[in-house]
Amino acid sequence: MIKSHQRSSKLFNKGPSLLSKLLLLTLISIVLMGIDFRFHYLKEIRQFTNVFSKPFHSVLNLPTDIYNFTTQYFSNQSRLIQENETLRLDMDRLKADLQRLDFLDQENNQLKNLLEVKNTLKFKTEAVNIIYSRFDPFNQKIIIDGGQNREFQAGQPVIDALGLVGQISNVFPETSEVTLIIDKKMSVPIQVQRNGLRAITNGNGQNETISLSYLPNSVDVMKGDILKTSGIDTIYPEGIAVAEVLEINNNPKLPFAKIICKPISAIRNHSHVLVVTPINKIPNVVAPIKNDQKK
Amino acid sequence: MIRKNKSLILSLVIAAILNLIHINIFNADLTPDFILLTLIFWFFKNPNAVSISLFWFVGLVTDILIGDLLGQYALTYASCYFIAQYFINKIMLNNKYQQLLYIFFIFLSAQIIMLIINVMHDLHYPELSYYLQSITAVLIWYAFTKFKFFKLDH
Repeated sequence: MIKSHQRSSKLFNKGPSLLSKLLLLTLISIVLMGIDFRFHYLKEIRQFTNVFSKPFHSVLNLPTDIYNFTTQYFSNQSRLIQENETLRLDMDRLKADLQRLDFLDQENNQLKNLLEVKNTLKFKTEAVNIIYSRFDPFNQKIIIDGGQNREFQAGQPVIDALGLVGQISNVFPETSEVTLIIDKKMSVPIQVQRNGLRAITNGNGQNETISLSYLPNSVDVMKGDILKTSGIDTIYPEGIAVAEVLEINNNPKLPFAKIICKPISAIRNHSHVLVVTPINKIPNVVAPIKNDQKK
Repeated sequence: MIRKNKSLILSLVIAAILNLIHINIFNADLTPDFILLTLIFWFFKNPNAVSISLFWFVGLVTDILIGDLLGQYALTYASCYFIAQYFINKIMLNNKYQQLLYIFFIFLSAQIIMLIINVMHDLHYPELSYYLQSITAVLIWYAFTKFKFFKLDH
């Protein structure tokens, strides 16, 4: 131990011992962690440092960019024509669907007016690139291209073509951080498509699964049920697919049923996601309930 | 000395970029902490070039880059320096495969410190494959010892 300590010193052994240095640094670290846990100032520091990390991202994306460029450059013409043809057909079909959807939407709104139901939220979507996913086994997060420059805000839902991916949790000048639905701290209000049962999902943080919590053992949920967002939170639009029920364990010894679901969206597999931006603002319905509770 | 510091900084920057790449096999994230790998390598290559405060400072920068709480990587790296300092004489006396065992132990203790910090602040246990990251770290270390520059001299 003494010999090894001599190795580390520059010229001769002077100053505090290694153990006391370690204790001092540990103390500083713990104090820093404590303050950060309480006041979350790391987020504010990141606002500045994120500007400097931009070149790193471009270096990291260089191989895929080069690959994409070369494959596009050398792709043969007949394949492109074919692809174009299928895309055009797809677009025609989707356009026809959209016409019907517009009509249904209008009809739905009229019916809701007749019944004096408040209008539901309207949304538009914006496509963004995924820059990278964060190296951290304790948090399930991805970083997307676009932040304050595209007027994103924390709390906006993020979806893909199949279903819900997550929610924006932090917005930086040019990037934003998206917490995935499989994250431990993430919960989404959902509705079972088959019978309209409302519940809340919680991320498991492991095995890429989410679970339905606090449902009684006698609950009517079956394997293969599709869970969709219920839209009652005014954050997520109605009817976005969230997960599919994988297994149900209603052991009578446990207080609640244990329901494990698999996310429908291809959480790990895409390079693009869509950020959902609300068009009309609905007044926050949570606030008056809180006031009532206080009374 | 300046040349050595340059290569140290350059290797740390490369490690920081590598840390953003995911090695994803069977849904398990096997990316080891490349920054810690680089720091430990420099420690065994040239113990006079690094110090416990440098480890701590690099940890703080890592926290700002990828950490969840400011100070968690700083604490982990400083503790790793202490553990590595404890092992340094033993490592130099042993053969290549025994050295790997010590490297594995250093990485495992780093992961356990990280786990304790995370469990204390949000009660979240990662799945068992989390510990495989130490094994990937050792495998990467082993792959690099094939090159002459990365061999630790006895």
